[in-house]
Amino acid sequence: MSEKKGVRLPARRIQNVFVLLLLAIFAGSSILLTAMGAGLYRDTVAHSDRNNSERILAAIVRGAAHSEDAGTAMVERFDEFGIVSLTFINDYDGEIYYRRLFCSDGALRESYTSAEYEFTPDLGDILFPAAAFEPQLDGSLLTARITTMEGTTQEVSVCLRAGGATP
Amino acid sequence: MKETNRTNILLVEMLVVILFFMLAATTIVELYASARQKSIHARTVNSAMLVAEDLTERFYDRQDETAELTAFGFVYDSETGKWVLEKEDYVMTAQVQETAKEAGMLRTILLKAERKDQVLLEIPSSRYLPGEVSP
Repeated sequence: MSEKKGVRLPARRIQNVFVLLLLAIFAGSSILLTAMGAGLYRDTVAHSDRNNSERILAAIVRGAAHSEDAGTAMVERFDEFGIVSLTFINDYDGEIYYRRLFCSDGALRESYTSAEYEFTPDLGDILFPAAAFEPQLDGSLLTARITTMEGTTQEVSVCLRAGGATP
Repeated sequence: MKETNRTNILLVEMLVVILFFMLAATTIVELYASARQKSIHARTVNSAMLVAEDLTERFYDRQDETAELTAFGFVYDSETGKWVLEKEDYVMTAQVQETAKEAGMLRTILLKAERKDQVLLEIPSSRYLPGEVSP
């Protein structure tokens, strides 16, 4: 009887260890799979966010330029605020209006004011989060370097078809 | 004896669970791979689209498309007659075609982005260049 016990005991132990090993493999694989899924989800969302930011910012600049380029476009520098603004000037019944696109406090903003009022960055409406916006005009070609909040920089070119640009 | 039977049953249970787990894991990993491919595809298309949109705007503004293509990093391939831009994720080609019209020239630049023999986008940019018309 004691000999039998002596033979059976290691075999049962091995079985127990094997079961525990399987359990450990199961637990480890589950964690690995979950971690892979989480990493992939994070990457996909990050890429999606970056793509969205790039496309939305490009669309805002293109939309603004194409809708307002019948007027005069110019690049204004407000050194006191450290802001470079893309400005479209329109004349409505003798009154001059400025539509400005600029980046301030982590967002691309837009202000639409009469020429009588001075430029105040805080009054600009927030359009979309952006880190930097640097417009340039070369003839009728507008080029804007836009940095998204994700840190990617892209260049957006727009041909001002209808109107002209003031360098 | 009872304990051994219990251990055997547990072992069989574990094996069955692991079998199902492996089946589920295979499906999930396949889905992960597919999601990753789609994410990369979307990123590549987005990147190519931004470059193509930029180029079409520049072609519209400028007369000399060769200078614009060179500035963007395109290289002329004399064998195919196309301009080629090799990016990390895709290859963009630009083919310039000119068709003589009665009063000028219709210049079309076909921008095509490809990734591993898969066409990501094709954007034609046409511009009519009026020529001299005799009175």
